Amino acid sequence: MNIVAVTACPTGIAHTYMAAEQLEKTAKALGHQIKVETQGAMGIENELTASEISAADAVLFAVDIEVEQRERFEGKKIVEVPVQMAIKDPTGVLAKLG
Amino acid sequence: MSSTDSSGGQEYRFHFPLPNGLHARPASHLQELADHFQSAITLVNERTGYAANAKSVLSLVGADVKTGDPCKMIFSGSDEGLAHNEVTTYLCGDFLRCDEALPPTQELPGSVFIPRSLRKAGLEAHHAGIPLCRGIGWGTVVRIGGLTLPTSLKNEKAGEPAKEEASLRQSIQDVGCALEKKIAASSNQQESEVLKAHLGILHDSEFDTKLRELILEEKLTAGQAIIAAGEHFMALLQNAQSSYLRERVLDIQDICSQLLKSTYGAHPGTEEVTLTQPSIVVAESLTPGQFLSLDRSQLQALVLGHAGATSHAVILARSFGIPTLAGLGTAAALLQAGKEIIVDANRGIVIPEIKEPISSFYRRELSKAGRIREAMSSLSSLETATADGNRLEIAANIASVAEVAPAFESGAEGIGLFRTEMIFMDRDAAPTEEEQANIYTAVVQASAGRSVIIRTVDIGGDKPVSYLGLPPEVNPFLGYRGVRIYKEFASLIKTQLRAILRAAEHGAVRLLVPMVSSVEEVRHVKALITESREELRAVGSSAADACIEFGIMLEVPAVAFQMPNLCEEVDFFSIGTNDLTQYWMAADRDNAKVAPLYNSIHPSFLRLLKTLVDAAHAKGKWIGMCGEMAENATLLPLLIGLGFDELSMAPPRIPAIKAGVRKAKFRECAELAEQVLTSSVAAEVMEHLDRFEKSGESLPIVSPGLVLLHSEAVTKEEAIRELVNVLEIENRTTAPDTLEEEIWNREDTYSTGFGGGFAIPHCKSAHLSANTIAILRCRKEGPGIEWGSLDGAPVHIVILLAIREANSGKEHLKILSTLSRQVMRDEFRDQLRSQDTPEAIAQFITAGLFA
Repeated sequence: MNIVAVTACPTGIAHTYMAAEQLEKTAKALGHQIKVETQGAMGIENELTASEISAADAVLFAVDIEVEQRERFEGKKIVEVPVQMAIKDPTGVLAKLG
Repeated sequence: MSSTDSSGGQEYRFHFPLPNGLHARPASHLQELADHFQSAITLVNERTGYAANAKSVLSLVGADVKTGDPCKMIFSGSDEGLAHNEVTTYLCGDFLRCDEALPPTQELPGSVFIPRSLRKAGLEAHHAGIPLCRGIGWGTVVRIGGLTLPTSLKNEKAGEPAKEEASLRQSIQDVGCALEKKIAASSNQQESEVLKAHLGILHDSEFDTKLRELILEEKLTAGQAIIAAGEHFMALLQNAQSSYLRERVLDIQDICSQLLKSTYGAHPGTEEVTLTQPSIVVAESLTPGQFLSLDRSQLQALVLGHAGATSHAVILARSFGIPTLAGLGTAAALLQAGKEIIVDANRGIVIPEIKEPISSFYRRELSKAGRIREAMSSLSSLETATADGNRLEIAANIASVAEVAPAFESGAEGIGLFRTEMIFMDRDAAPTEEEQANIYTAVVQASAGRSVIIRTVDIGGDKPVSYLGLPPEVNPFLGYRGVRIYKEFASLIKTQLRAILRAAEHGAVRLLVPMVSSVEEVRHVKALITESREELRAVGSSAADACIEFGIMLEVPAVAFQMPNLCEEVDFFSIGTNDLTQYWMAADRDNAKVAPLYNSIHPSFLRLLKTLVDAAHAKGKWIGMCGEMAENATLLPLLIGLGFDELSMAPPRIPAIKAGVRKAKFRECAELAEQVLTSSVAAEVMEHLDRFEKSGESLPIVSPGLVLLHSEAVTKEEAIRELVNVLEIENRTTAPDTLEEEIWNREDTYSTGFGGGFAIPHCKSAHLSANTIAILRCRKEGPGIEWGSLDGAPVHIVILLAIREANSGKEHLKILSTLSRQVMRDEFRDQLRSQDTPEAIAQFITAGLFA
C-alpha cells in the first residue's frame, strides 16, 4: 500500500517525531510505502506534495491538533487517530487503513 | 423572642445581627450597657454552647459569636425585668448601628505561586509574607520581643501579694488614664473606637479576675501575672473562627505591653537571646544590635513584623544572606516558640507544620542551594574583569566589623561602603572617638590592605538619633539629614573624622560624604577635615597626616549639573541609586500607590547615570555605585556598558555579579548601553536587556551536569522537580517553579510516558537560558516511577526536553526531533540503560544527535 501520513502533537517537540518514527518503521516492516510529514516546532518538514497525495492509496493523520494546509487532502478519505495511538500501537493504526 | 425561664430570670433569644460577629467593638458597647444593671447577664452562643458574662468584653469576645449565630441572653437578679427590657430594646435598635463595614483589608503580599510538586506534597497551611532576603531557613522558632519579660524578671520571686497587686492596680490606672487622654485628644473615629475597645479590655472584669488569681493564688509578680493573663486570653482568641477575632490577639498584646512598660519603666531591659540550635527568629522588629548579637551559625531565617525593605536589621540580614520575610501580620503571632518551621523566602511563605513529603522537598531545596553556593564560591577569589579585559571592581556594602570577613569570603575586592549610622543609633550618647577609632581600625585591619570606603554619618530625618535632639519633621526625606547637619554638629562630625584618620594609618581608607547638594558643603567638610587634623596634631598623633581620598555620594539630583565643579573638589564619586531614584522620580518606594514610579530603568534615570559617569571620567575621577541597582544581574551589562568603575553591593550577591562580569564583553555592553539610552519608555529598556540576555553565547544542549543517575525519586512530581532543580544549578533557568508548571501543562494533556520504561516530559519556555536536554535515571533494581505510561509500566529513565520560546536556532530543534526519533529505537534505549557515567551518557547523546 502507498501511504501518506501527517503527525502533529500539542507541543510539537517530541511526540510528532516519535509517531513518525513508529509509523515509518512499522509500515516498512509490513511492506508498505510510506511518507510521513511532520508538523512540529520547526514547522512542516518532509512536506507532502499534491501529486504524492493524489497518488496515495491511504491518508493517515496521527494528530492531536489541527492539521496545517488541510486543503491539500480534499477529496481523499482520511483516517484520523490520536498521536499516542500511533506511538503505542502502530500496527493496529496501519491496519485501520484497510 | 422573650420568655421567662422556669427557674426565675428572663430570656431573650435572637440571631446575632451584626455582619462581623461579636468582636471587641460591639462587645464593649454591650458590656457598657450590661454594666448598668445589678443582675447577672449572660450571653449564650447556642451554636457552640459557650456562656459569656455580658459584663466582660473578653468573655463576650471569647464566645466567638458569628453573624447569624443563634443566641440567648439570660437576665437574673433583682432588676432582671428592667435589664431585660433595656438590653433587648438596645439589641433591636442602636446595637445594629454600632458596627460598620470592616476597613478594607491591608495590602496583602502578592499572591504566592506554589509549584505543583509542593502542592502535591500536601502543602496546606502556610502563611504568606513579603520576601526581603531570599533563601530557605529550617529551624525552631525563637521569639524576641512581643509579650516577654527579660530573664531576670521572668524568674523573679514575687513579693507580698498585696504589694504586687498594688503595683498592678497602679499600672492599670496609669495605662487607663493615658488611654483616656488619647481618646479625648483623638479626632479620628476609627482610632478612638479602637482605643475604647482597648480601655474595655483593660477594665474588663474577667481580665481583672484572672490577674488577681495569678497574683494571689499562684504568687506571681505583677509582670509575670500580666504575661500569664495576656497569654491566657490570647490563646482563647487565637482559636476563634473569624480572622477578625484572631487579630484582637494583637490588642491584648498591646495592652499587656503597655502594662509592662508602666510597671517596669520604659526599658524593662534588653533581652539576651542565645540560640542553641538551628533557629528562626520571629520578632515585630529587631534593632541592629539585637541582630548582630544573634549567633549566625544557628540563625536560619528571620520573620519580622513591620520591617521595611530598607530598615537596618534587614540591610544586615541581607548582608549575611539570612532569609527574611516580613509583613506576615497577625500570622506572625501564631508562630509558637519552640515549634519547628520552614521559612521559604524564595516563594514568600512560612510553613508552620512540617510533614513528609514537604520535608523531603525542602531538604532538596536546601541541598540545591548549597550546590549553587559552592559553584559560585569557586570563582570568588579572582579580580574582576570582563571577558575582553575591562576592569570593574566589585566591592561590598557593610555596616559592622562582623560583616568584613564574610564579605571578602564572597569575593569582594574591597569595602565599597561602610555605613556608620548604626554606630550612632540606639544609644543614649554619641560614640566616643576612641570607640569609633577601634571599630574603623578593626575594619581596616580585617581588610588587609584592600580599600575601605567609610561614609560619614547619615542621620536625621528617618534615621533619628535621640541625643541630637533633632525635631521630628513632616518630610524627613527632604529634610535635615546627612551633610546638612554637619555645621550644627561639627564637634560630632570632627570626632568621627579624627577616628577615621586614625584608622587610615592602618590601611587604605577613603572618605565618603552623604547627601551633598552643593560645592559649599564639600568645602565645609574639607575644612572640618583640616580642623580634625589640627586637633590630632595638637595631641601629637601621627594620624594628623594620614592619607585619605575624599569622595561624595551622588544622590541629590542637583549634583547632575555641578559635576565639573565637584570634580575640582573630590577624588571619586559613589552613586546612591536608592535615594537618587526616589528624588529623581519623586516617588516613595514604600508607598504602594506610587512604588511603580520608583523605577531605576526609567530612560531618564539611565541618561542621568550616563551624564554622571561621563562627567566624572572627563576629569579623570573614578565613579562607582553602592545602591541596590548594583546587585541586579539583569542590569549588569548596562552598567558595564555605561562605564562604571566599581559596583558595591550586599556580599551574598557578589559571586553572581562577578560571574556576570567575567562572561560579559565590554564592547557589546557599550553597544547595548547606546541602544538602551535611545528608549522612550522603561518597557523598551527591558526589551533591549531581554534580547541581549538571549543573544548570549549558547550553552551546549546537554552536559554531564545535566545527567542524574541513581535518582531516589519515586513520584512524577519528585522526578520533574529534580530535573528542574538541576537545570537551575546548571544555570539553564532562574525560574524553576515556572518551568515546572510549564512541564506539567504539557504532562497534563496526556502522559509523556510512551512505554518501555521511558518518559519524555518537555516544554517550550521563555524561562530558559538555552535549549536543554536533561536525563534522570532511577536505580535499575528500584520500583521506578508511576508515570501513567501508555503501556502501564513504571518509568526508569526520564528525558527532559526544554526549548526556548524564542526562535533560537533550528539546529537545536533538529536535535530534539532527532532525539525523539532515536528514543523509539531499541538499541538507543538499551545504550541509555547501560551507560554508567554521566559523561558517557552526555557523550552518547551528543554523538547520536549530530550524526
